[in-house]
Amino acid sequence: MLVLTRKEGESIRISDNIVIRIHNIERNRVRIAIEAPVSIPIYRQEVYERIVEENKQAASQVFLKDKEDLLKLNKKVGVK
Amino acid sequence: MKINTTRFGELEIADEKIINFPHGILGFENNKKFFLLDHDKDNDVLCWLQSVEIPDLAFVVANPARFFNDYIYNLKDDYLKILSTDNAKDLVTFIILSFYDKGNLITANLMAPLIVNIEKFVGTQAILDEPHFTTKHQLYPAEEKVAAK
Repeated sequence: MLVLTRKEGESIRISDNIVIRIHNIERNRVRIAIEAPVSIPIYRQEVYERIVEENKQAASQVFLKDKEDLLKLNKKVGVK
Repeated sequence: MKINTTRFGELEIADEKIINFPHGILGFENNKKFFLLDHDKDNDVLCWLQSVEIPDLAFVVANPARFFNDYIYNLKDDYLKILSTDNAKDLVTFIILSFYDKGNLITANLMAPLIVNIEKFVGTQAILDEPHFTTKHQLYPAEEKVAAK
């Protein structure tokens, strides 16, 4: 892993299209400004992990085996 | 094109019905192509979003308006660029559902919905900057539903 020291207002450039700038530094908090192409998604790590976890949970519905099972569920949630 | 699926067998899906997710779905970023199965836009409760590439990868998705009256959010410009539109009328929102206890408890991910440009068949999973939306809002049983306020 590369570790660099930067001061407030300084930047790091990654490849030719990503710039990460240290916007400001407080006691235990750093604000970071990121410029990157839209094709590169940027996430807060803990948010990314939470959503990946939820997606994996959602994708593992082994009890739903076919269309019939979903139709049954449709009735269940569709009827108020 | 013919698509092999674990749950539904081999399906013939028109190429123009395939939705391209250029960034994939988080955790499944390598899978960019999905299609909606049993999606009836006039009467949609739940439907499947099936992967083209992975036979057993499918999500149960729903129209949030059917379950959450006040599900309103702002979409960042970056997502509109991915979806190549600036017209909200082109966009349809789906929430991904998770099931527990064989479907006796169902939750919806309101924090990261799938948004699809239905004109261009391009979609993305957006992470909303709305602190009151979480990844697990109870959808069923409805009487204990957590209000998506």
